[in-house]
Amino acid sequence: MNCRDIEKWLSAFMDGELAPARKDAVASHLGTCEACRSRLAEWEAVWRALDALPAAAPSPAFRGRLAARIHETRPAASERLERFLIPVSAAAVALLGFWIGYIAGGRQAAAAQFPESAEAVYLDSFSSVPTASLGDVYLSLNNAIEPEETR
Amino acid sequence: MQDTDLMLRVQKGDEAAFNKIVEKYQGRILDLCTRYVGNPADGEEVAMDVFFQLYRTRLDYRPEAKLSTYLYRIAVNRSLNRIRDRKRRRLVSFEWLRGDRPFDPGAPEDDRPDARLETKERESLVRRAVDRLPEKQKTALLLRKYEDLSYEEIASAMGTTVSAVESLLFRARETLKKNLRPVIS
Repeated sequence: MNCRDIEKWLSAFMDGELAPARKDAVASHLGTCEACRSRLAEWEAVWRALDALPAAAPSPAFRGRLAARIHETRPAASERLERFLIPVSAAAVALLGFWIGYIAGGRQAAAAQFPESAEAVYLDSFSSVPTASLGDVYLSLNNAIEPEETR
Repeated sequence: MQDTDLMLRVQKGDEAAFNKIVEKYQGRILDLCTRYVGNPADGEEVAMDVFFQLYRTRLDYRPEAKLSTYLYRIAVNRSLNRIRDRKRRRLVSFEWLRGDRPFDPGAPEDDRPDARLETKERESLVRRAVDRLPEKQKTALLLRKYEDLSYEEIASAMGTTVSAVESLLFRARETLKKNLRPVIS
């Protein structure tokens, strides 16, 4: 195993991310190769140098500001009620419309199915009325007016 | 309580569960974001964005995903967006890049003026070297060095493979070795 083979595993070796067999191979190479040992030492120095960047801590206001920001996005109680009522009202109107349509459709269908009977019922109700009754007066007036209107 | 259980409770509207998640992860996320964007004020804004996004998209969370990885992914994306925005608006904090302000006011410092100067110079050099790394190398390096994530976790947070992470860390180390020569020699 030469330096080029080792080079690609050196980073993972340093991070303890190599499988045991490969780790042993790298360790064995490092025992005999000054150049690779030197490279590893430089990388370790780089890693230590990175400690110069200190850790950050949240400010005391962090949690409060986050809570306020989340609260801002929440709808108020009236808005929540409105959001609930709008779809419910829309559904109720739609249901009412559907019901009216259903009833009207049913009547039309019945009329279309039995047109003669509907007409017969209508005419029969005025065909024979007792003399001098209200119906008789209505029919005589209607007969007297109709010819004039059609003229 | 496990993170997944906490998130499932958050999805049902449990505010206390969300607070527990924030409490558990705020240090790590803030640390990553601050190191990523290069200054504490921006870092805190980005960290807040991360938790806000977690809350806003809580219903999208799937229990199969590890919450910490999910948060790191959001943190990296948000940090990158902040850096890109800043570059676009040319609002780079030169004051911060010069290292005039302490990173953490509470951090212990050596009392000798020359030692303080040396510490600040060193810090400034390291920060500039890290900031100059290509985005992916920088992400892999920060997650490994400061968050102590495994290669597999880094790969998951970055949406890449373990071998790609290995390669990114190799290149990051090589680049830093050149750029940090004055510090390590």
